[in-house]
Amino acid sequence: MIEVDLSQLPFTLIDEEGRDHVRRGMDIAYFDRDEIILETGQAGESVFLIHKGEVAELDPTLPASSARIGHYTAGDLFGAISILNGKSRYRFQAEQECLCYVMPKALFMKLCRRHPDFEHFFKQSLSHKARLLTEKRADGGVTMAGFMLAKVSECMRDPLTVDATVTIATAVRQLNDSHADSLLVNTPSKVGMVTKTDLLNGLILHNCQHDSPIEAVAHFSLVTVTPQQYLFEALVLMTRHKVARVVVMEQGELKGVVELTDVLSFFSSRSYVVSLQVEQASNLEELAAASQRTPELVNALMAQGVKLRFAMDLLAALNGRIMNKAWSFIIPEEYHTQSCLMVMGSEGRGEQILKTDQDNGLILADGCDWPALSKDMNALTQTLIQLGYPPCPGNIMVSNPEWVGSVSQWKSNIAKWVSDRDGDSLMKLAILLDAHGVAGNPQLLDSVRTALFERCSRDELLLSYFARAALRFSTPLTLFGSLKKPQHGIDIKKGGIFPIVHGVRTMALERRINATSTLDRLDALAADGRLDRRFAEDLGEALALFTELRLRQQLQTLDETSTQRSNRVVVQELSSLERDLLREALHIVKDFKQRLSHRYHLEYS
Amino acid sequence: MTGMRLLDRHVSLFSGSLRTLMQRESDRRRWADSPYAWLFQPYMGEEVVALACQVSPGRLPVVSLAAVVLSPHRVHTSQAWVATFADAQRACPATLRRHHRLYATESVLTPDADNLGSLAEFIGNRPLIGWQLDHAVECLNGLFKTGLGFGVPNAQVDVAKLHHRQLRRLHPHCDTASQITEALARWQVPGIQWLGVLGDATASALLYLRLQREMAREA
Repeated sequence: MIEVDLSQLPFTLIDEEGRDHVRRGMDIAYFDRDEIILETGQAGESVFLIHKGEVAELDPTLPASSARIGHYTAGDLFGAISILNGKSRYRFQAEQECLCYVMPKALFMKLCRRHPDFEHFFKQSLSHKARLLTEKRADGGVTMAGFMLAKVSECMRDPLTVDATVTIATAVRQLNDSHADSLLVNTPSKVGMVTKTDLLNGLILHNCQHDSPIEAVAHFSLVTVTPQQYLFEALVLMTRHKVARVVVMEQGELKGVVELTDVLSFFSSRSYVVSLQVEQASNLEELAAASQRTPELVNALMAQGVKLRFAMDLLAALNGRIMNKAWSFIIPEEYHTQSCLMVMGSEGRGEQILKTDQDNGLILADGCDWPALSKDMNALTQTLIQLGYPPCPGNIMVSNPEWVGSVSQWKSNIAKWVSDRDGDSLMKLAILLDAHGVAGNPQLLDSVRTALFERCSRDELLLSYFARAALRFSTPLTLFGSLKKPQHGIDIKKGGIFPIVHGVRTMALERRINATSTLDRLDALAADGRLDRRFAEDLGEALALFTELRLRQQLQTLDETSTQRSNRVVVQELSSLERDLLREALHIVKDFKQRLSHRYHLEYS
Repeated sequence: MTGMRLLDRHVSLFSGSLRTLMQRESDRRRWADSPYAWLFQPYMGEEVVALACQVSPGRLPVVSLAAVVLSPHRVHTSQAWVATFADAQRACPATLRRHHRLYATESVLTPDADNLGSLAEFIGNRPLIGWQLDHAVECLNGLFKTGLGFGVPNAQVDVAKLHHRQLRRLHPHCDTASQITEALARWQVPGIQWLGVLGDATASALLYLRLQREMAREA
């Protein structure tokens, strides 16, 4: 028998005998740093009680910066919900060395049967957590827009109170005078509310007279918030109770009213609406409707001057969720743990703003038997096209059997590409290097990536060939270091974005960095000591500038009929400040290219 | 039998002396047709058994013993084997009570062939580990030899020696203490509250897991 501290919450819900069972039934498990304790989609076999250490709950389908959705420390319990659900929705990973007590599933289920309170605790926390998560996802968008800090107090109207004995006629007059559509009714004991709808119903349906007291039509079950609560919470309350206004109370004292229209105009960015829609979509039509709104979201975010990195993160998260949902609608449940859908290219790096072509592939577990594979994959590609992701011109899609394969097939592909080393193979390696799992079992992708690193990171010759592409396009600077100004504009993608992205990608390959976004890779390279922090920051800023210039260009042409997205920026149309910034940024690119050719010996190529 | 197969079978035993090697081989042959034959076969799995024991010596020794299985990730404390071996009728009641209280054992078993056989079955042919294992194996050997007729045949890893070796690698001039609590603190194994012999076994198991990772990291 081991001594476990069972004086904490769920265990206080069971009796002494049950606790004794727990003590006798516990095992001890030891996990190393970064070890995965419970994988996404894995069946829950035990409940873990942390004795020492820290465990993170991760959603591997999200970009690294927002993947962490939960954090557990000593005394916390996890894994119970995975048992109740049948499988784990997220990945649990030890952040430090961890010592956990482990309760087997059978014992946990027995306790649940014997002690309904105990079971209820977990069921409740499940719904609680689901709600928190939706709220977090939803207000993620609001955070980006800088609205996270908006409190109820910033958006409330002063209350219009009348006495309960006032007649309906007076109340209507007061409503008209103050251009409001609701009144608060004060009685000695409680506060009620009258809306225009209530007045109408009272007069027409309930046969009230003009001189009957307002109390007769008021209703007294109010939804209240405090001024310190976030505005978003007020909105959630309104949605939940299907009302259009909530009353603001502070310590029993009336402070004001928040109207739905006020909140909506406050949140005009609508980012939260889109993410809520995605979360709530229960079929493909609803999902498509939500998906179509992302471009307008981008426009709104850009108009508000949101920092590009955050907008990209938000969009990557949204796209990931959309694809994940589409996947779960189409792919039969039994294949979820045996396959991994990955997005590649700019989407894998989480750097596309507008919807780009779908670059995706599928990794199957070795020995997975999936007769309807090609049919399902075609369906998935078609669905994604419906959802607004245009097909990839290079046919890098799951409907193409070349981009579907088992783990060992992928590994042999990698080996082949590495030994061929021609342009096409190098491009495929680069594409695969940016892969990010959005649905299914992310461990499969991890094992492929590990194999990729294993093969490439020490192969100097390959790295040199790989890095060479970064120098392919010249930097649009004149001999004297000023901007070139051709009539048709400079190609910002070739001249600025690509060298940074590809150079950083090469370094990440060399240093075996798992992150896929260029900015995250830069952070990791700086932490690794490969780049100095200042230079890494400069590169990140330069990249952000290029992307922003390009995006502005593309948003302008978005409404026009042209399907071809332009990467050209006409220097003459920029303000002098922007021109200066662009010149500086291109100099950073030039510097970076020099460092690359020094490191990877590209001088004579 | 080819030489290679013989070598394979004994490779885990090469740490022992030639005499124990001979002893093992003769035991293996002698017990080849008994139900215990499988105990002498080499173990190919990943599990080990952590052992701890406390002895009150005397004319009628009282031995409290705990064995707990550990797999690469987990210490299976819920399925541990804990008991006191003594002759319940003739042993000193005070000693029995003390063992029950101090070492948290719940049952008293007579050291006969049945009870020892069940312990041997529990341990199986898995390797044994423990803090200062020699001591535990010595008293287990005593019990086994009188009850079953053979000594403990399993491969053995002394966690204390492992700890000292590992410590000397890191700090060649370090004085090594022989307290398990100090070793746990040294390797930053989080302290669990433990009681009795099962606690000792669990602690040595955790220390073993920790040292294994340490060695894997160095390799």
